[in-house]
Amino acid sequence: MERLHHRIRFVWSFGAVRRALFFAVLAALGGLFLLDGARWPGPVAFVVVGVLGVVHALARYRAWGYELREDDLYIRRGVFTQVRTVVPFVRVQHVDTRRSPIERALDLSRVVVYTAGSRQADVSIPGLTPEDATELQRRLRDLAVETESDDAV
Amino acid sequence: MTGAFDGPRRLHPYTAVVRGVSRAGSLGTLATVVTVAQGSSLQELQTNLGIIAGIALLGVAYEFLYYRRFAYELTADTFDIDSGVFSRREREIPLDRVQNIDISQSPVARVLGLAVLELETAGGGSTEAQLRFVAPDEARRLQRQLQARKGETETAEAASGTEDRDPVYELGDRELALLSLTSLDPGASVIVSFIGVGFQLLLPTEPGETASQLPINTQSLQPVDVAGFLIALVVLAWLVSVALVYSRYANFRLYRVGDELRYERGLLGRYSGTIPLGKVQAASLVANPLKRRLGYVTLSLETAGYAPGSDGGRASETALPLAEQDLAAGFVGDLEQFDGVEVDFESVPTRARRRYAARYTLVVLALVGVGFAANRLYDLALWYLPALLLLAVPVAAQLKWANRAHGTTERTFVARTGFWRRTTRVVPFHRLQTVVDTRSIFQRRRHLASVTADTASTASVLGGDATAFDLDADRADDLREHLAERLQWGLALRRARRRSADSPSPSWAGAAAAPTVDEGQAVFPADQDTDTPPPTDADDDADRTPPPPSPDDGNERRPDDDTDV
Repeated sequence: MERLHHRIRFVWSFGAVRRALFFAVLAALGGLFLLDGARWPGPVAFVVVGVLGVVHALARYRAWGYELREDDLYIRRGVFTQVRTVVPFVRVQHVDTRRSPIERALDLSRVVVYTAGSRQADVSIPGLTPEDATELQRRLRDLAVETESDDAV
Repeated sequence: MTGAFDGPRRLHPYTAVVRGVSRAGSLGTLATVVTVAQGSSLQELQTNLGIIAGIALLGVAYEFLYYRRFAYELTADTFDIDSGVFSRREREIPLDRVQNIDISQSPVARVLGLAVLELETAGGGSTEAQLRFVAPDEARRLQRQLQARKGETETAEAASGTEDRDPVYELGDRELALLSLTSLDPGASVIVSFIGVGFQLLLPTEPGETASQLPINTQSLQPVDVAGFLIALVVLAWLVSVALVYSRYANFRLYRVGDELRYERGLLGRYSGTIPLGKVQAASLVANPLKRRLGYVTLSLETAGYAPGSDGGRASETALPLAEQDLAAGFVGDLEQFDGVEVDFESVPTRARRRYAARYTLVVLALVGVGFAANRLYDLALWYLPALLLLAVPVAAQLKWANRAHGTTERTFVARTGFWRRTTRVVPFHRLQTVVDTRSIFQRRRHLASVTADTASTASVLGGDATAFDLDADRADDLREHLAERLQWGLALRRARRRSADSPSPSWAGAAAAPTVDEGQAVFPADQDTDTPPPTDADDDADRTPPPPSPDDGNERRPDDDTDV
């Protein structure tokens, strides 16, 4: 089972901090208008949501794993609800690599795999180095191309 | 076969009139609503009538131009449509991409001798082509010729139409009556709630009281009146539902034409459509407790490529509105890639039942909590009444537990769930897209997991997944891997079959001849070495099974030998 690159923890933690900031602003506004100008809700919300978010990000990193098996891509993820997905190579429609600004800043990339399936149709593997991502994309594409087009739906 | 290549054609001449009237009607209504919404009185409305009439006239003019500028043509390998009043569109639809060809005649259209023809292709966001309106004969001619040229169908068979053949299935009077009485059409509740609201607004209880005050003034309403009113509404809803279901499924007949099923139905209107058997992603058998009691079930087939919600988009097509369970099971068994639904169902571990009981208890407690809060605010009598529902919790948990089960046959994954709408979903391994195994913290506490077999069927977007709920977590691991393996097996089989065939055979033929394994009903057949040719007793049910291709197993290759993947 392959792990993600450890820098993905910073990407997710950054997301958690951003969320914490959003809640902090809400809480601060709430304190200002509903609690007679109380100052504490903003910072408290920021710390609580931020810490929880960062802990979740770390747990998420520990829970994440993927594996290229003989016939399929196997992914395990999820902290509260664990999800294990099997994506047979024959079902892969196309494969993207993507990089968000924060991922670029940390020199990470993600691979997004599309199938014709209707539920959770796109499976994405975050936290890869750009070289790994390109390599994974190439391998998935080759494995998908080997199969006959008629099998895709 | 006349008129095959005779150049572009126009829609039916009535088109301009009928579409114009309907367009004028909707535009006129819109204009009226806008005028009224602006607060105009009835007098002002009359002065605005001129404007409204003008807008309606514009609609008629537009539709006349639409008719004038609409042309379609069936060529050797495409169906072309040139249309558009302001922006022009020329569309060519390759015939082998056409999935479904539907003809519908609403009651009004039927009286006027008109029909609507719709073409669907896989992957299209909405109906690909719509001919509104053509003459019914022309619609049937197009349907026939389109089918004949789709390639896979034998021309002669498809072109002969359905008039002179026996239906595979016919909804009898008894079944139709049963279906109408035991189904609840969702449309009925909408209609009746409109009636209910209208009734409430229009009927002041005391003189001088304006209608809008009525719903708030609850003190003047006796509980008995309210109960009576509600009962009357429910009865009315049921009657409307009976009428709707009856008129929808009256004269239902299902034919097999080449590798497609074709149905016809409708009491006042006439509707017909096709289900391409080679494109079926999943089958679902649905029955409410009443139908189960009587031994009946509804069978729907799900295909890919429809957009849910958009007009003309459907997730699944009803193949058998109401059929005895054995008949429906046999029907599914005869489909491509299917082998029946007679499974040794594996039931859910009993500890899942405790989970359901806990869940329902929480729901009831939440209701009581809401009641409590409402009581603090409004001083309600009997706010604790929802607590009585606690008595129903064990029953509900038991029913939920008892109705959930899953199993695998030789070629399919079968999952069953639900008490009020017990749905048995059958997914051929061959159609699997991804396999998803989910374990929430509540499930992990009890060492349970749910496994979903995802297909390209659009129905699963609407919550119709084939999911085996709450398996033992270790069994879930096995099932997940088993499904993935069986998909490879099914694909390898198809590939081997295609290669061994000298001439390109219809897609269903390969599947019909797919070998079966001796251990047939085993839940997890460990070994697929024992491929045997299929039973070829097609005489007794030849009318709905594909003609059995000669079982040509000489070139048969086991999936293990297949080096493709």
